[in-house]
Amino acid sequence: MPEFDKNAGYIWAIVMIGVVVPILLSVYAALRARMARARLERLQAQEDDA
Amino acid sequence: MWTILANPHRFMGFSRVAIPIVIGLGVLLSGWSLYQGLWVVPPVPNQGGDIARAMFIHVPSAWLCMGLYGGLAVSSFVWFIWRHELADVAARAIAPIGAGYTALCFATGAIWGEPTWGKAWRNVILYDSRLMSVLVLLFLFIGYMALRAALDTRQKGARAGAILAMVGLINLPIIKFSVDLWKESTIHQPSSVIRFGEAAAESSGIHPVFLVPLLIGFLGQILLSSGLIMLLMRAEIFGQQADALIARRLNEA
Amino acid sequence: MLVPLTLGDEAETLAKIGPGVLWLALALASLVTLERVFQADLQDGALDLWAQEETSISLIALTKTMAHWFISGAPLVLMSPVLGRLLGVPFEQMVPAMLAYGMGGLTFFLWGGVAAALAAGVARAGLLIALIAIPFFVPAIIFGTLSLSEGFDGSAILFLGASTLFALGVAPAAMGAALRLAAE
Repeated sequence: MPEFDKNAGYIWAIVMIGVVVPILLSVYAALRARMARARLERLQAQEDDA
Repeated sequence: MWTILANPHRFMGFSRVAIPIVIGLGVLLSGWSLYQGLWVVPPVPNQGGDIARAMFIHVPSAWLCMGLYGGLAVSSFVWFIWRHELADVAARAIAPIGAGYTALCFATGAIWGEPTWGKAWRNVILYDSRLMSVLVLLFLFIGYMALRAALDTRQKGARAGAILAMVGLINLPIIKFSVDLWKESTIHQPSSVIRFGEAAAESSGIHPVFLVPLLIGFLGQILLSSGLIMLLMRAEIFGQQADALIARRLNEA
Repeated sequence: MLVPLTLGDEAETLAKIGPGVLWLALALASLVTLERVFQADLQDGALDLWAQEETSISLIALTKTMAHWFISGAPLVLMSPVLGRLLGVPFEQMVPAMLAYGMGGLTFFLWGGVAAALAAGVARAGLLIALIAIPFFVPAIIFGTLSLSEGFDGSAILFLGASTLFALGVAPAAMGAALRLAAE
């Protein structure tokens, strides 16, 4: 881990935000895509059954 | 290329392949940039020392959030004029990503400001024109999402959203101008990226040691956000196909 | 966000606070009553009638906005000299101030009208309208606050005038488009 000067807390806070926000966005996007696809496939499966 | 952009079917095929590549590459470049910024690059004495490393996160997000709003407005315009349904899908997808990066830019900017300018972060918002513009941008994104969510039909939401996005884009230069005017003596770092300097310590330009990771990081974030936007577009298209299926079924019944 | 913008960073004397507060009052006055402006028209079908009319719906929207402004906003502007006398503001400052209030207030009502038109048909849209409108209020707030301190000397009041004209040009068109949408 790099050693920072007196502002280390701020730097790590910024880095954490900079890493966590894209991760959260990615999770959000992936979940939405996955759930939408599952819903579509479920509906199509019903269609095939009917 | 235009057919990929205009035709939902081809877009689905394209995005299936493109998304993992784009996201993977984006993560790689961003990761490298972050590594450079934290470990390799030397601290700059006259910019507050190590805290200047925040630029590798804050600056790309600033460029990106503004670019994303531009993307939102352009997609809205394209949809409004030519009614390409994919353009509206894109606009819906861009909004949350743009909002996220705008919030990131604002938060990192406020935190960076405190030790650099010795003011509590609340005052940073007051004293800095650029951060205030970012806050306004955040409101624009959130307002757009709220408006679209509030309207019941997708068509209405698309049209209202498009109007809002376009009006927002027209107003944006005025807003920025007024904010800059208000705090003429902004204590914000003057734009130094455009100029190349020999030594970071002397001139106000940016030495390539800083500039390269900055640009690479920016590119990485562009790729990452593009991948996420495409992913959200896929989610939207799946949803529309599902709704169409249900509608058809209701009609047949 | 509105409060720091109007109070600025030197909110010591009452004379400095007063104008800012009035400015805020103008902005809020527009927001509070906005929700009702187009809601009733949508509900009783007036909007559908307008859409079929020959007259441009933007023009109708503009007229409604001006009416709203005269009822809710202009009285505040006219009262501002009274406030000025109470605070001991010299007369020379009050003339540009009234002009600034007049233009800025009109701008608030214009952009507020756009937000209200966009949100027409949404139940309890008050917060949504405020959320949408706030970014568009910012230039008027800033130019207005600056022109209150500069008067006719500075350029702020010119910018305020320019932004008001801009709003007069853009807002009715946007309102028209939004109302046409709501009528469907």
